[in-house]
Amino acid sequence: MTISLIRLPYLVQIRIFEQLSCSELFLLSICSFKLQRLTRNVYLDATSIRFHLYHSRVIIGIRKDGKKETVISIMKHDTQKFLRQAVRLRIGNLKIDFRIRQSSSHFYLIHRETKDIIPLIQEHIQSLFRRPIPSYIAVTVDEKLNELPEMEGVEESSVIGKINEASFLERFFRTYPNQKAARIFTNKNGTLRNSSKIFNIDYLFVMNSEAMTPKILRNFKGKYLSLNNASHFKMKDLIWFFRDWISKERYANLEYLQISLKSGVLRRNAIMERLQTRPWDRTARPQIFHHSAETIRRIRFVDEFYESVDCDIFLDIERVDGTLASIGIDWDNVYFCVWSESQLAMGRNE
Amino acid sequence: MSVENAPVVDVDEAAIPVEKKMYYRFESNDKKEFRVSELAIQQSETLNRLVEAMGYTSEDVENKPAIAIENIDGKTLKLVFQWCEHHKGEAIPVDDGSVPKIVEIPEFDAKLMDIDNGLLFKLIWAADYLNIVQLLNVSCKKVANMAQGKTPAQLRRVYLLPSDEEDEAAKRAAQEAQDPRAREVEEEFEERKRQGGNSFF
Repeated sequence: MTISLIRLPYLVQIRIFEQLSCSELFLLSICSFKLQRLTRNVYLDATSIRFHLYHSRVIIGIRKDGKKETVISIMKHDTQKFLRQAVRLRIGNLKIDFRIRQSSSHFYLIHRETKDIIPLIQEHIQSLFRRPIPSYIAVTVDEKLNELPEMEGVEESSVIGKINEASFLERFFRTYPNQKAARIFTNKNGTLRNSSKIFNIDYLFVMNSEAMTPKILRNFKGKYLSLNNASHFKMKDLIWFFRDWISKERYANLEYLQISLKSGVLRRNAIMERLQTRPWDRTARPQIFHHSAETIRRIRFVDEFYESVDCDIFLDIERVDGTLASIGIDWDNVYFCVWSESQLAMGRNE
Repeated sequence: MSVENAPVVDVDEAAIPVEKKMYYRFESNDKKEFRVSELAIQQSETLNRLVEAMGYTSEDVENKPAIAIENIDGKTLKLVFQWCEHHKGEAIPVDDGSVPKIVEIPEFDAKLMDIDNGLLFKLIWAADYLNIVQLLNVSCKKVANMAQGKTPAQLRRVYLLPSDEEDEAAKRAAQEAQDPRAREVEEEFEERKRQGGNSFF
């Protein structure tokens, strides 16, 4: 059963393309240069293009309206024999031979050099959209993980697995330097340089920050920081943090900090005594701290994340510019919430 | 075949005016005649405007020749009018260029479009020409469904997609057909390039 798509009127072609899934549209777009140009005229939108780097494969999908759709997977295979029966496809301006394999849900494009292919595929998928769509990378780290492909426009990432290479995170954030949010779930993290790009991330969640905790806390320049299973973390690190915030020498953008210790107990009173704290004045701020919509959007997939924090028993401190923040310290957790003008205004209206 | 001897195809007996309802007569390019109710015609923006412009009365419909639709054959037109009669009175989607992302094919439409792809191709052309928005939506959906689970190679076969090389060849052939001198100029240019000249002039 065949039908000549190209001989249908242009607007009818577009109607047909509009009915295709993103995956089908992508597969059609790599059939020829003409199809590549035609499929670009479809109004296609997405929240993000997602790349899951896992062993020797990269699963590429889109997220739209909270739903995920797999577009294509790219898999590396070195055996020349396996790559016979390849089909020539047009990725961007290049014609590349791939072997194609079908899984239960989507197709795999198989090639010998996926590292160089991924950026081309990224660019090709991006070209299907009329506006730049941010890329999101999820990496499962293990010894089988292939090299990191060089990609543009990576705004968010998640890293899971076991890191054996001490400088992996350093290398990861240098490869994808302009990220806005990162969620790190690795069980070993290695070391970070003082100039690490990780400190510039606006929204950072680290599941096992361990020995990296003092360095991240010292150098963080973003808005949201959550460090869990923290170790090698001393009271003086925390005192420095609060003093630098009060004097506005650092952390000018910070909205929220949370640190959970791996072991040990925090000496709440000793810390509070060193700061000019004051009890909650109900006229000064609300009881509940609500994270910003942007924070919720960036961090909501983390199980440990709550959209609001009850600051009922927290003590307050003030920055030199009058900005108010609340500190909560229990046995092994520190919470620090910086009140924005809009939150304070909402509180006054309640 | 003369118009008088052309077969008259009733699309839907129930739709024929029992209570003096208005209906129209159309003729396909292979001289098949159809009687279609006024309400069904409203599904087609093109035909609706046409009959409005003609200002036919019931008597005119009987006395004047059937309205000729010259670029659609009888087999296709029969499907089109069957569809219009079945969906008469239904709201017509506003065609503002934004195609609804989720188009469901109703059972009747699925049966109607259970046809060979040659006829489906003609049906889509007809729906587009006659501007029957919902018929166009469902027929395009049917074509889109053919892509499900297909590899690029299979898509090329199903949709008869030419390769880059075939597109290039077709483009060259079209250029030559338009201007036979163009090929000669191109060949001359290529020859000069081979000879090391960096400028055509």
